Amino acid sequence: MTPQARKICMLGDFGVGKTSLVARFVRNTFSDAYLTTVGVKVDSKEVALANGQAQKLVVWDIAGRSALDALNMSYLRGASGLLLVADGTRESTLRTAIDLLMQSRSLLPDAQAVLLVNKLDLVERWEVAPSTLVELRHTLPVLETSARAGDGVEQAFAELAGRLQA
Amino acid sequence: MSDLERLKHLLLADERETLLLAEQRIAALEQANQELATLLPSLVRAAPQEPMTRALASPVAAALGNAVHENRASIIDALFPVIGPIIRKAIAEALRGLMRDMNQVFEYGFSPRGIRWRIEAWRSGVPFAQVVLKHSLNYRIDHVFLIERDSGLVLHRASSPGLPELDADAIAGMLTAIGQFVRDSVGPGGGESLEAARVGEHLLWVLDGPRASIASFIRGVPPDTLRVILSDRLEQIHAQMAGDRLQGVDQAGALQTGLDPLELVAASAAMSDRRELATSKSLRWPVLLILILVLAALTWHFVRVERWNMRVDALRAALATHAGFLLTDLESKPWRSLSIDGLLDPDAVAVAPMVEAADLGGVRAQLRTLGFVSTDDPVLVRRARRLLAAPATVTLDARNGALRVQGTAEPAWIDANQARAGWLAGVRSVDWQVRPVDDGSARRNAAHAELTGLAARFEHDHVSFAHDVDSDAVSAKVLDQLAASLVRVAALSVEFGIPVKLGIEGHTDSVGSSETNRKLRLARAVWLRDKLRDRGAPAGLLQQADLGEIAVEKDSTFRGASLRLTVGASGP
Repeated sequence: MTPQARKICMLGDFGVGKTSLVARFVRNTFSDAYLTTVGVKVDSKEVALANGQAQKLVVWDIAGRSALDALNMSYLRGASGLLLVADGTRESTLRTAIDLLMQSRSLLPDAQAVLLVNKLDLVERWEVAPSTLVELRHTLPVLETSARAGDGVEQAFAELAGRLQA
Repeated sequence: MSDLERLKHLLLADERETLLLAEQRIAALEQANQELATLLPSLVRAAPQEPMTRALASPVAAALGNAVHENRASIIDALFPVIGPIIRKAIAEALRGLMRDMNQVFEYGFSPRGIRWRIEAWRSGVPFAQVVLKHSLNYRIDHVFLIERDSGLVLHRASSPGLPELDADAIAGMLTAIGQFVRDSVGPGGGESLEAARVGEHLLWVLDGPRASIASFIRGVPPDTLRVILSDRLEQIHAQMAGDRLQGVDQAGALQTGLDPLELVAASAAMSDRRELATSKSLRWPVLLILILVLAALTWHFVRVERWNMRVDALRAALATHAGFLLTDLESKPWRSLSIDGLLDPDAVAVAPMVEAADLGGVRAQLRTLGFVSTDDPVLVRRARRLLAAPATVTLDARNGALRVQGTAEPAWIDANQARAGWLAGVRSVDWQVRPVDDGSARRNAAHAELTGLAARFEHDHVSFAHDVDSDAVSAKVLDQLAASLVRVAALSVEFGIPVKLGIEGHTDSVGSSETNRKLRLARAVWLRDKLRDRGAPAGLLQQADLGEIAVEKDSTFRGASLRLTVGASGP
């Protein structure tokens, strides 16, 4: 039986690695070439949950923006979960992710959200302080990921899927 | 307390208490009424939805109807932003259907393929739409998605068997995203939507509803009825969603979508048949009538043109055989104009009367001619007669340029024109057979001359007598000659009317008395007359002859008889 699908949206600033995370999650691939996402790209994948069940995620990879315009807001409609992505090497992208979360709350007050701090493979160049992440974890789940190495990617999507199932 | 007060208290205590309670109750009700206006919205929200909806349905409908009657302007202002796009969309859809129908009419109606299909439908008795469906609408629906409009999640999907598996969620999501992008980019009010797109060999149709959309991937050319069927299905699905209070994709499995591709194709074909049947019944007679009228008009036109062409051909043939006329051009517009150009010999018979005599139905032909010299035989004859001024006794004839002139004419005319005839234009040779005019004078003169000659001969031809009235043998021969000559004299005299006078004379010698000799001469003249009568000489001539005697010359020795002929003038 086909598991029930849930729509999740990737939100984050330019170049934080949203598309790379989706590629790693859906196709287990990574490319150094940076391709700006135009508009939105939709993919889907099933995630096995800890309880043995499966959850299908329809991932809307929305083009990187520092703020949500009307079109991007329309892309968010009907979403059950949000994957906020920040670049650990650029602290400003973390603030952008938080801002995007705040903006999306007006449309999706009940959506589950998980924050991914990407580019863990470049941890030595991170600007985001660990203490900041500790503070953030008090309000929403925060996972450190690397689309290049694949670290934490599956766990991040599984975390969100689990929260959607709950 | 006075006595009166006490008495009132004793008598009306119960009533006063009841009145007080009633006043308190009224005050409480007024208080509640005052508070009801503020509490009513929250009470309505808190009330169970189903009974509240039922309770409000009738008064709301009545209030709405009352508002339409009494405050129409406000209702129009409120509905205008909604009705406008709906009307525009309906008109656009109708026009699109009309254009599609017109395209199909032109494509199927006038192309050779369309005519062939119509013949097949006519022959087999199958509706034309069914034949077209059989031949051209071999489309198939590969995939049908029912998509939640907000989230882009798949509520239901159906695919034709045998197709490879595809990521329906991703496709539905992308379709939704593209639809939202189109709505946001193209439609300024957000009311426009993506309705169709072509992806490779697939035609993508998207039908949007308030809560869900149907996306169909179609291979081939679908009929417009398929869109109607899909719209019906979408409306039915929305009706279920409203009735079942469907909230999201979790309950989507309970939907009766009716979106099986094969069922959709069958329903579309059935609707096409019904529509074609309905239209063909209503349009058959007018179409047949129009066809008959068109055929009649075409037949009448062709017959009319053919009649004109026959008349023009007849005129053309007459002009081609008209001697002395060379047709160079003939332009004809049936029953409108006729223009004839040609060369005409001045001696030819005029062409205009023949053209005017042609039955052209009131069309006046324009005839333009230039002069030239024709070698046609009839024209040659007319030219020769004009230039030679031939008299009526002379007949002219020509054959292949050979002029033949025959008859009688005055010698002067013959002398003047015999040589000229060969110089006439177009004359190749001349056969001149004209005799001079013969009025009888020549023959009469000849007859006169012959009579004169005979008269001279009579002076020498004598009959001699050996005795008194006996001639010698030689004289018998002379008698025969004289008789023959008299026959000739009588014939010529009668034929040409030349007066002659014959005299028969006797001769004697001078011996004897004069009286005896006179009687003897008379007897010899009578003898000669009788002898000539016996030999066939004309009796009339002999009867009128003078029997005379010649005076005897002195020393005459001749004894015999002779004839003397006096010839009158030859002219009348």
